[in-house]
Amino acid sequence: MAYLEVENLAKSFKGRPVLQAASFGLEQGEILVILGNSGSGKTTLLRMLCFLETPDAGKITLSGQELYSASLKLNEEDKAARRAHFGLVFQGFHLFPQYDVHDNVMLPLKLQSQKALKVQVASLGFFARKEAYRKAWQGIEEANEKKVAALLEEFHLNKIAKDFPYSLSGGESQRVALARALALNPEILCFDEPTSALDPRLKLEVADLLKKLKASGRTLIVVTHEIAFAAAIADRIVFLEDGMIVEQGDSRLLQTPTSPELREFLSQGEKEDNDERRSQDQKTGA
Amino acid sequence: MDFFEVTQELLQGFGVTILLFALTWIIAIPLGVLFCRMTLSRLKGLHYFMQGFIWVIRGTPLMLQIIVIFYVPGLLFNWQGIDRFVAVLVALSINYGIYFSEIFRSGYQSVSEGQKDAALMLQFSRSQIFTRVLFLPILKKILPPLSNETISLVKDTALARVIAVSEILLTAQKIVATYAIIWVLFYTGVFYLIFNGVLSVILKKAERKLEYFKA
Repeated sequence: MAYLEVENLAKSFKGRPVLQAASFGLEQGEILVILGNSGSGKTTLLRMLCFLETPDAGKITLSGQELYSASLKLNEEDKAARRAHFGLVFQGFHLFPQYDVHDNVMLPLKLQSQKALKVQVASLGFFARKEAYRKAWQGIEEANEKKVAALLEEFHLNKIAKDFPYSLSGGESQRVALARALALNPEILCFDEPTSALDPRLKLEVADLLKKLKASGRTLIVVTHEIAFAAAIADRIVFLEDGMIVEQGDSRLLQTPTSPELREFLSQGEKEDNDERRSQDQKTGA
Repeated sequence: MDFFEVTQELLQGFGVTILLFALTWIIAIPLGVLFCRMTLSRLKGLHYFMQGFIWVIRGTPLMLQIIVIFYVPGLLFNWQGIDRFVAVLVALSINYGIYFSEIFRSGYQSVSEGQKDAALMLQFSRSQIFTRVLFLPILKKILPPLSNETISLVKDTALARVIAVSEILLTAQKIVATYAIIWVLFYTGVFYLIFNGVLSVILKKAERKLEYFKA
């Protein structure tokens, strides 16, 4: 059994199926790319894996533990517990505008520590609880600060730690969103269209960044419609068309597509890549 | 009646105006939050009830609402002695509660769903999502319309005179009727202008405090 196993996952919105019988597996430390055109169901699939949408049918298993099956009735708390396995870097980043970069990364860590500490001291009496909380909090806060400092350092965010999201570039926002997602140390890190709205140079940087994350042992799921980017990072590829997985396999899939849908998608993508390259050349005067 | 005596009289009336304004504001804000939650409720019956209620309150004059609240309980249930001040307070609170609720609703709906999703992914609880993530961006968006409504409320307290609550304008009208000095009416404008000026400065300061981020 694979590390992450997805079986026959399905979802409809108002009777219209957006994903049908999606099945695939992913091993620990691999990068899975979910590839497809806009509207093919990629983001819905990712949102279901992250428990932001509830599937209508199917099964999700992680490390042998059943996270979702149609017979399981999940309440908000159950869903939150399942979400903890995943981190998600959104296409629009969704940084919290009222907090600076440092606090965007710190806030989830702080709230999680507070929650854990409250549980830890819950059995004590009122005054003992307050005292135990106060004593433990100082050490936790220091540890959190160290962790945030390390994340800011790792993603070259030190110089902009006091900046607010509105002043950041697309690349900077993405790195902040990534650092924030990593703060809670999720087992699987997901990216929704990480290269959209980035110029070609930044796309290469993102590809390098994802490879680095993989090298550090992380398991990644990346949704994209960009073929060159997918080819640069993927261990496994799942190709979606109209809510169905048409083809899947390892990274060689892009060289040897068997379905007419993937062949057409690749030739379309090649044309777009050429157009983009030409317009870049014109811009740089080459 | 000299200027000093008139000012003293009007100050008494203005005390009623300010009290009416302050109490209405204090009641209408939480009432607006409650109405907003009811409007956004997934319970269809509650949602449609609120739609109807909003239609009635926004579609009829505030003056008529004050008259209805003051007279109708007596006419229907033979209740005597509903306090005039209380009747105006209830009418203003419901009316402004509805207007505030619509401001809160638009503010809540204008904050991106993505912010909520991001917070969910970061293990925030429902209450933390509201207090730590949504509250300030919503406040930033609703402050300008909320400021407008607050200023309007100060002026709308003048409608209390329709059921003989002696706020500043009715006090002035009584002086005009008794002493035939018309300038007293115009003089009340100064009280409104000063008070609304102070309020505007405070509300602008609050808006400026939130300028450090863009929602």
